[in-house]
Amino acid sequence: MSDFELIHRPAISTKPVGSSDAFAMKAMPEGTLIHILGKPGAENLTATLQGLFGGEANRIRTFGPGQWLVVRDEPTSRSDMQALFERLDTRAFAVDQTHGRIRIEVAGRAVQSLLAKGTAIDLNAVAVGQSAMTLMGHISVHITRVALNRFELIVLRGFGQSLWDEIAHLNADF
Amino acid sequence: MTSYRLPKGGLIDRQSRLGFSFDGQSVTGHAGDTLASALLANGRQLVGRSFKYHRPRGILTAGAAEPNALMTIGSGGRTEANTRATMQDLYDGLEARSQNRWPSLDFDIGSLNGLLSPFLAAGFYYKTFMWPAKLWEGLYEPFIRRAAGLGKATYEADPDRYEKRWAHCDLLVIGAGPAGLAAALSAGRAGARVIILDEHSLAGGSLLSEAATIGGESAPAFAKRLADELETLPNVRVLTRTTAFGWYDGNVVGAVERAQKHVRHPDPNKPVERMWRIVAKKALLATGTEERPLVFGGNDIPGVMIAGAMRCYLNRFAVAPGQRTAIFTTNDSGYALARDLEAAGVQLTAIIDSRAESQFVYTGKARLLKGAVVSDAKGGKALSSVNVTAANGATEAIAVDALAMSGGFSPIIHLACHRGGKPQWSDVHGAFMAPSETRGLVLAGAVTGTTGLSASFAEGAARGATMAQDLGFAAQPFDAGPVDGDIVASPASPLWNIRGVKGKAFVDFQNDVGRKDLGLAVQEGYGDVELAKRYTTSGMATDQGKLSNVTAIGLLAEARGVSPAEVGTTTFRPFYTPISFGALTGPHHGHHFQPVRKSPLHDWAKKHGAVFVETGLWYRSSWFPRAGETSWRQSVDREVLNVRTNVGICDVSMLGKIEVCGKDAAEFLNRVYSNAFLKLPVGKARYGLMLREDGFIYDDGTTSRLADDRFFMTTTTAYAAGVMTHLEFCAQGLWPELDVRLASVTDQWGQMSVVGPKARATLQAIVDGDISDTAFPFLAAKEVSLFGGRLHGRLFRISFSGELAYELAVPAGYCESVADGVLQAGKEHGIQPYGVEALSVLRIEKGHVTHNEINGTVIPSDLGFAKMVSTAKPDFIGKAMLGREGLVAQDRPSLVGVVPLDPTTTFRTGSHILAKGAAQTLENDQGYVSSSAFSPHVGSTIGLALVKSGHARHGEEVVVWNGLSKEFTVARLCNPVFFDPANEKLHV
Amino acid sequence: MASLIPCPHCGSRPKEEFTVKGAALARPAPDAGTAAWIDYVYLRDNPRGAYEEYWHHTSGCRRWLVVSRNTATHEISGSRDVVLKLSAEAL
Ligand SMILES: [Zn+2]
Repeated sequence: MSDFELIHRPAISTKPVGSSDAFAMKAMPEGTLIHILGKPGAENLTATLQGLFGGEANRIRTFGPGQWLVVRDEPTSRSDMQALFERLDTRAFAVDQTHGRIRIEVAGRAVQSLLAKGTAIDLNAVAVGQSAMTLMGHISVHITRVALNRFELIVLRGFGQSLWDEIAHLNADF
Repeated sequence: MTSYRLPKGGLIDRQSRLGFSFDGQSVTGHAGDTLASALLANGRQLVGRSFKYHRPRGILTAGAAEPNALMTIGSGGRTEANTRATMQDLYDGLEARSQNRWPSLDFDIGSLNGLLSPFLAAGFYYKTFMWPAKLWEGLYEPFIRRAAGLGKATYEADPDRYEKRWAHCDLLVIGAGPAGLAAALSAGRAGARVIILDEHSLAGGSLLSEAATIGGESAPAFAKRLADELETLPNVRVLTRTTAFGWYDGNVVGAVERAQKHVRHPDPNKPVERMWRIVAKKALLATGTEERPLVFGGNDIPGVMIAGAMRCYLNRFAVAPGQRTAIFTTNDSGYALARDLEAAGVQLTAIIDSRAESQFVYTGKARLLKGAVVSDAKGGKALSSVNVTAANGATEAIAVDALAMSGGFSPIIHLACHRGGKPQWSDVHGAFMAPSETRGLVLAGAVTGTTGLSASFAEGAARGATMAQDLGFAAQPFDAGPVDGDIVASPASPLWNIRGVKGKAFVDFQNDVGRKDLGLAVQEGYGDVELAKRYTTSGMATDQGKLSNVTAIGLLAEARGVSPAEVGTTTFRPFYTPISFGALTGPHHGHHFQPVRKSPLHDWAKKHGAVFVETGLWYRSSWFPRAGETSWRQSVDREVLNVRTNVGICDVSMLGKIEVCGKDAAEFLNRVYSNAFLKLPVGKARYGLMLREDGFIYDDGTTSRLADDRFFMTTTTAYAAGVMTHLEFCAQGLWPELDVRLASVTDQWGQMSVVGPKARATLQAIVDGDISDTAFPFLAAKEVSLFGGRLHGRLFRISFSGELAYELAVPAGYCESVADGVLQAGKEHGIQPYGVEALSVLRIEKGHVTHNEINGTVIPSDLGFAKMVSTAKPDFIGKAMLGREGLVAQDRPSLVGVVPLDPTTTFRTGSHILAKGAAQTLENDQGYVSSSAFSPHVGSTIGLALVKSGHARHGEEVVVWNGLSKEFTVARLCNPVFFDPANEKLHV
Repeated sequence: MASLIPCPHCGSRPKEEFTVKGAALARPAPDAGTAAWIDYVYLRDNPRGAYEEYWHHTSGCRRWLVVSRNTATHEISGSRDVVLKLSAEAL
C-alpha cells in the first residue's frame, strides 16, 4: 500500500480562541517533543542539551529532577532523532514524545489571571524561560513562561482537547 | 406604607429608584440600599417567621449575623433560599419572598406552635421521638424533615457561571474597616502585594455608619478616599462583597466573592460568584466585633434591633428606625446612637443603661434611666411598649415602636480559630478573644478589643507596616489624622440574666432557643457547652450562633455558677457564612464536570458508528452497530464471530504504556513482576504479573524488550496511572541504587489490535517486513516499518482472544490514518471494527482474566498462574507474603469456567455458586461468577468464576444463584478456557 | 480544603496535586522473616502528633516525598525527597 495517503491529524482541531490583546489561545505545531531522562540528582544537563539540540530553534524545558523536555516547532526526522539519541550516550535516555504531548500557547494581558483560575502556582514568581508542572483544574499541565504575557502549556495528547475546552470556557470574561 | 426614609443623609443615591417586590408587593428603594434597609425605609418591620414557634420576626442586624431576615431571592434556576436581606444589595427587579409561613407572613397557621411551646422545649425531639423505633421511618423522620430548614431549594438548573481562582499576596487584609484600610495602605504604599477584602458592598466597615470626622472629613468620605487610593495601586487588589470563610493550613484563606449577585441580569460571560483561594505570606484579621443582643422578654418582636444596626440604618441608609425610640444598653456605644438619633430628628424617649455608674456625660433630651433594665418588650407583629425595671425594682411601661439593644461586643475571631486554636475568655473585655497562637495571622482593630477609631487606625497601620517590613518593604505606618466626635464604647460588663423577665426571652433567634431552654439543659445534666448546643440546638442554625453563642455561654456559666472561661466555646469551623454549592463547584459541572481523555482513534470509531462507554475518563467504543441490527447483542455476536472467522480491528490505545530504560531496567522489572524478566530476549514480549506487597495480584500486562536497556510495558487501562506511580515509588523509594528511568508513553502511541485468522494477511499489506510465523512468531515484539518506510511503529504478536493476533502501535497523530489503512487492507478479508464488548466476550471464551478477576482478593495460583511466581528470584514485590497460611490453603477460591446445563438458560455476573442440592443461603456459598457473556463460539452463556477448590471441580454440577433477583441456574463447572485450550491458533 | 504541601522541587502546592501512600516505613529485607513483613505490610502505629508519610507529587515533579504531618492538627511541617538530599519547610 505504498500509494496509501498517510495523514497526520493534530490533536486540537478547533480554531484559535480570542484575538484581543487580553487573551488568545492557539495550538502550537506538533513538531518535535523529546523527553530526556537523566539521573535524578546527577548533573544538570541543560547546557549539554542546548549544545546537542542547537540554539534558538530548540527549547529546553525542565521537567522535574533529572528530566527535561526538548521542544521545537519543526519535525525531526527519524534518522536525525536517532543520531541525537546516540550522542546523548550514557548521560541520559531519550524518549520521543512528539505525539504523546501537545503544546498550546496562551497569551495576552489577562493570561495570568486566566491561568490562576486553574493553577495554584504563583505565576508572578515564574520568570521568562522557567517551567513548572502543575494541576490546571483537573488536568496535569506543564507550564512555561515564554514571554512576559505568553505561556506554553504542554499536556498529554488525550487531554489536549479537554484542556482547550476548559480554557476556552474560562476565557469567556476576557 | 409610611416612609421611614430620612429627608437627607446616607450613602444612597436618591436620584435612582429601584423597584422590587416583597411577597408579591411592589416597593421601591435606592441604589446603595440593601434589601433590609429598603424594607425598613418602607416601614416593613415584619419580614419573617421564626423556625419553631413561627413568631413574627423583624430585621435584627445590618450584617452577616442576621438570624431573622432570611428570604428567598429570585426565581427559576436563580432561586436562592435563606438569603440574608441585610447582605443582599438591592437591585431593580429583585424578587424577595418571606419563608417558613403559611398561608401568609401576616397570618401564619404555624404560629399556633407558640401555644404548644411548653411541649417544644429543649430536648423535645430526643424525648418525643424515642420509641417505638418502627415509627421513625414512617412518622418521625418525615415530620422532622418537613420542620427542618427554612427556604426551599429549586429543582431547576442554575443558569449562571461560577469560577474558582487562586491568588497570592504578601499581605491579605480581612475586613476593610478602619484597621484594615490603614494596614492595607501602610503595606500597599510600600509596594507589597496586598489583597484587602470585605463582605459588604463598600469598603469602610464601621466608618460607613460613623458620624465622627477624620481630619475634618466625614468618616464615609474618608473611607472612600482610602479605598480609592488602594484601587489605584497596581500591587493592591480590593475585593468587596467578598467573605473570607475559612483559614487553612499554609496560611491559605478561602473567600467567596459575590461578583454578580447584586445585578438583575448577570453578564453570562462573567461569574456570579468567584471562589478565591488566597495564599498569603501574612494575613491580618480586622473583622471587628459582633454586638450582642440582650435577653429580655419579647426581645424578638419586630422593632427590637441591635443598637449598632440601628445606627447603621440611620447613618448609612438614612432610615429612621421608628417614631418613638428607646435604647437599652450595657455600654457607652448606646450614647453614640442616642446622639445620632437626636441629630437626625428621631424622637428618642429613653435610654435605659444597665450600669448604675457610667463615666459618660449624656447631654441629650431623652430620659436617662441608670441601673435599669428592659424586662419585657410588648407587641405582636410590631413593638408597642417596653416594661422597664428600675434599679429599685419599680417597673414602668414606656410606649415605643423601636428599641435598640446593646449587650456588649464579641470580637469576630472565627477565622483565627479555624486551625484549631481555642478562644480565650477575657474578663476585661467581657468577651472571648482570639487564641494567643495564630501563626501567620495577626489581628488589629476592634477584633483585638481595641476601642475607638484613633486606636484602630493606629493599630492597623502599625501591624500593616510591621508585616510589610518583615517581608523586606520599607513601609511606614499610615497616619489617619485627628478624629473628632468619636464616642468610644467602653467595655461592657456582661449582662446575661435580666431581672423581672416574664415573656419569652430568646438567645438563639433562628432556632428559637430561649433562656429557659438553656436553664433546662443545665438542670437535666446537659450543661457542658457541646451537650447544651445539641440538646437545645442553640447555635446550630444557618447563622451558626454568630449572635447567640456568647450569650448562651454566659447564661450556661451563670446557671452552673462558673466563669464563661470554664464553660468554654464550641469549635469554630469553616464556613464562616453559608457558601453556595455553585461557588464550591466552580466551572466543573455539565460538559466541564471532569476532563475527557480521548483516544487517537476516537474520531475513527465515531465515523464507523461506534457506541461509546465511559471507562474512567476515557470514552471507549463498545460496539459498532450495522444497519438492520436491533440490539447490542446482535452487533457484538457478529463482531465476535467475524474475529473468529475473518479479522477484526479494535482500539486498545487506552492501555497504559510505560517505557522503562536504564542499565538496571531488566533487574527492576524482575523485582516488580512475580515472574522472571531478566533474560527476556530483545524483540520478545512476555506476559507479566505484578503483585502487591501483601501477595495479591495488583495488575497484569505484557512487557517487551526493545533493547538491552529499554523495555516497553503495558498495563491495564484502569490501573495505568496507579502502576506508573507504583513503579516510581519502587524506583525512587525502594531501590534508588538501580539505574532505571520511567516515561509514560500512553499518549505517544495509538494502538490497535488486529485479530483473527486473516490478521496476518491484512497486516502484511501495510507492514514492510516479513511477518510470517517464522519471521514474526508468537510473542515477537519489534519495531516495524510501515507503508513503504513512511512511518515506523511497534508490532507485538500477542493475543487476548486466542486467535492469531497482533497489536500495532503507531505515533498517535497517524493512528487514525493507519487504522483506515488497516481497514482498507483488510477489506478483501472481511475486516470489521469491534468494540470492548466483543473484546470481553473473546477474552472470556479464551479464559483470560481482567480486573473482574484480579479484584484484590486473588493470588497467582488462584488463577492458575502458580508457575508465574518465581522461586529462583531472591526478591520481588509480594514474594515475602505469599507463603502465609491463608494464601497456601487448598480450598482457596480458584478460577474455573461455568456453563449452564441447558444452553437456553443464563446467569449473571456476580451470582453465587452453590453445591448441587444445597440450600440457598450465604453459608453455602462456594464462590461467585466474576465475568460472564453470551459466547457465540459455545452457543450459550459462559462464565468465569472464583470457586473454592475450583481447579479440582471441573465437571461438577452446581447451581448459579442470584439471591437479589431470586434467579437460579443449573450449571456445570469446567475448564475456564472455552476456546482452543491447546493454544494451537496462537501459533499459526 | 485548600491546605498546601511543600515540595522540595516545586515549592508549596495544593494537596490536590499529591497522592498519599501512608506511613514512611523502610521495606524489610527479603529474608527478614514473617513477623517483620507482617509488621511492614499490615501493622501501623497511630501516634498522636508527628508522623512521617510517603506522598507522591503526582501532578507536579512526580517525585516521592516524605512529608511530616501532625496527626492531631493535620499541620504539615515539611517534606524531603525520598532519596535526593533536598527538603522543604511549610509556609
Ligand atoms: Zn514537586
